[in-house]
Amino acid sequence: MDDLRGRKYVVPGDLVAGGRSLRAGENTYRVGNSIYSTAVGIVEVEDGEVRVVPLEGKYVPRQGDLVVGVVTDYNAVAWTVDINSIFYGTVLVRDLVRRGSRGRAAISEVLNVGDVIVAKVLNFSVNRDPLLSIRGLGLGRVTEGEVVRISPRGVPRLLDRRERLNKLIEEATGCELTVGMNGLIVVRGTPDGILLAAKALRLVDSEPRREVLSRALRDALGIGGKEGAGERVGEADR
Amino acid sequence: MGKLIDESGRRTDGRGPHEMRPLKLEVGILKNADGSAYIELGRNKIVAAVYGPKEVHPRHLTLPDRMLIKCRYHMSPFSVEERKPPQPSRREIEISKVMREALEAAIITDQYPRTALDIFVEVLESDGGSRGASITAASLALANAGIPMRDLVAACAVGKVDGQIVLDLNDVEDKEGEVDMPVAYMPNLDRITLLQMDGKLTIDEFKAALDLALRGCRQLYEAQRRALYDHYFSSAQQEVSK
Repeated sequence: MDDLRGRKYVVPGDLVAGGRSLRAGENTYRVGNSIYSTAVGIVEVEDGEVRVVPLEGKYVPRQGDLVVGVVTDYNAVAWTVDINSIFYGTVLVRDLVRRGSRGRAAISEVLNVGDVIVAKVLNFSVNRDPLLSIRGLGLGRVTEGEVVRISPRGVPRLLDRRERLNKLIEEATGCELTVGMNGLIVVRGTPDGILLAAKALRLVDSEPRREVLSRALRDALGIGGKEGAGERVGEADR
Repeated sequence: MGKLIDESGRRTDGRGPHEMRPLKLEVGILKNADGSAYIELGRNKIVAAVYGPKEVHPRHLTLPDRMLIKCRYHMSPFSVEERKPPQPSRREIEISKVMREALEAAIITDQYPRTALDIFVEVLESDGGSRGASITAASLALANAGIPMRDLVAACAVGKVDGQIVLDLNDVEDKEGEVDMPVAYMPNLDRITLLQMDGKLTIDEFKAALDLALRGCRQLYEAQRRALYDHYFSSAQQEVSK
């Protein structure tokens, strides 16, 4: 810990830490006795590893991630899905359509171009396009609700385990949120609820600072009041 | 001779020999680009935009082990005193190439193999030293797009005018001076990523010029960092100091 230079906010090339006691984690690199940042972001230390949580950049798929995407094309083998990433996702036809009935019509009946889907990343490496699956609980074609887009870098803030901002928004708006790690969020609920939820999500998108965000979000959702909200703020401060 | 620097050592725009022109940097000025930046250096006005990483088109240009970087430097027809035809000139094609190489040295290209990155630089108004200003702005646009980089790249020109080594040539000095030498530099890593020279310098003059250029780049680098901090952390800093 002594090696950390105490700087919390960094830009590319900034010295993050010196010495040998820390390992260089995500978005950092080591030259000799120094660790530098490769991104604009916030420094975090965990288990003897420094990393920089980036504030910009596209979504990079990870195995097991939940993503929301739009089907852009299909052929006899697979559907191509725009998952707002550096690569397109792939859903295999053989996973969903029985052999022998894989005609054009049969395939497009399961998923057609323009369909919004909730999927899980089965497999991904930078050498292979991400393979998706829509078989599983909560996965599949989206039939109702609206899709709200935020920056993929805002998603960890939304899902933060201490703040639980997604639950906060769900409770305040009566909507159900399906949060894709790629920044696409399916919101289901009443039209007014969806509008309010969209506004709240935009706020999460624009404010990287945890303390400021949770305060602003409570104001926007109209739960900045005394009783119930005070309790929640206390919870967040812990 | 003697008309570009007067008796008191002042240049055509009133600057001293080691003084840079007024600088303004802004980050994130375009909504549609993944990253963008704007620079004003003297009368130069330049916009840089970055798109990517994204899939490579056409497909066969894909590099299996690293990111494909494309760069376009372009001067608007209205950026100079007499209309410049809009199609890329020999000079613009050359600058596009050297800019790409100057920036590629900073980008960690093997982190996203099989992808493409587009860098667009548009000169709205030109006042000498635009390739340096373009690299300075493009490097900020890359940071704004979240492209992994070893360091920011800062670039400026030095030259010889009326027998004197001067920093940051303006348009007149560029055209009528004896030497123009643009340099791009990564200050943290102490690496030069671009070095060109028009004209002749003695070895001692060259050393003095390079030294002056690196000092200029460090000055620009501080301004780049400040621009990024202002864009991302301006209110955060206050929050922390509380």
